[in-house]
Amino acid sequence: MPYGSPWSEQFVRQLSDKEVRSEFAADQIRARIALLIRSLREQSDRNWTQAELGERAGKPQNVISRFEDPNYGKMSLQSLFDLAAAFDLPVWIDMPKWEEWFALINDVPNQGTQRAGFDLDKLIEQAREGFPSEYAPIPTSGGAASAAAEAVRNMVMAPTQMDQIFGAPLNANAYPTNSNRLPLEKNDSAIGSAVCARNVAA
Amino acid sequence: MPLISSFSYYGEMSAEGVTSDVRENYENGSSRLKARTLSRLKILAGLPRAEWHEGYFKKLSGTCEGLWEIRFEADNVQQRPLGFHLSATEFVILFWAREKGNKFAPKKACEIALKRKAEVLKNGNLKHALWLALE
Repeated sequence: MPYGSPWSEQFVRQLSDKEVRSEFAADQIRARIALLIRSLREQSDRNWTQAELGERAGKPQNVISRFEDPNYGKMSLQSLFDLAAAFDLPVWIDMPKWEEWFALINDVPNQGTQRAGFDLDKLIEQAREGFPSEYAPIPTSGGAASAAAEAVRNMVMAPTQMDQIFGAPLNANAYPTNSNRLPLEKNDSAIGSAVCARNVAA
Repeated sequence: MPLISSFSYYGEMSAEGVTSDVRENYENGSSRLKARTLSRLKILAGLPRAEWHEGYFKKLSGTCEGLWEIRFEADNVQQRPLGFHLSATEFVILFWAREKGNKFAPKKACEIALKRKAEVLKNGNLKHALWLALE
């Protein structure tokens, strides 16, 4: 696999059959929803049981158990909203280009996935202070925002470093997550991914 | 994020190369089976061993003690590739079983897999890097 590319030629060839890639894409989402719910439920500052999450989402424990089963795959959009509300988190969906999607699916929800719920004081503070240095900005044009965000999420980088990599003025938008970020010097390949995401945009 | 875990599979060397019923099972399977196999192995490969949860993976007991199963459904059949962790980051698929009515098909699935596990532990040449690319 070339340096910086999040997928290999063989990986893409395995998806050359439309039926295979459609089912692969669907199964990835089924499995990731199940993992995401479990990861957020078990996040250290929540540490809820399935019954506790169920109480907050207005569903019995056995339904939460089903949602955490990667083979279930019949969750309604409303149920997803109910769970997100229980976590006090928003939901975002997209139908990205395949190259963006390949980059996104490399990040599997796990015990390191940390998503804090709505924090009014913190958000107001960020609004007043402008761009929070702990979050990296992402390009928002060309439909590559998701892939770029994924690459950027994995690193901690000063705005000047972002300038050097993306070669463009910073956008004021921030990607508000702090999950799975690694110090830049420990994750040099993230630069390759970021550059790759940038190339996608170009 | 780089893959954390890797997979290998049991296969015997022959004049034509590696002969493996594990791989044949995949190659002869439906599009759905291929897609779900690739998907689940990719998910597991992206997680540390400690986070291979029961919905995806299960430790077996009784006459199957010493084996683990990867769990997914494809074509209305519960697919159960059997194997073991050779190290913290490498899982060896030994035999491709299916589950019907809480029983493995074929019935001797665990017996075969355990025999192969012993062979692999004696002879590392019987395991091969996974034929699938997971990224």
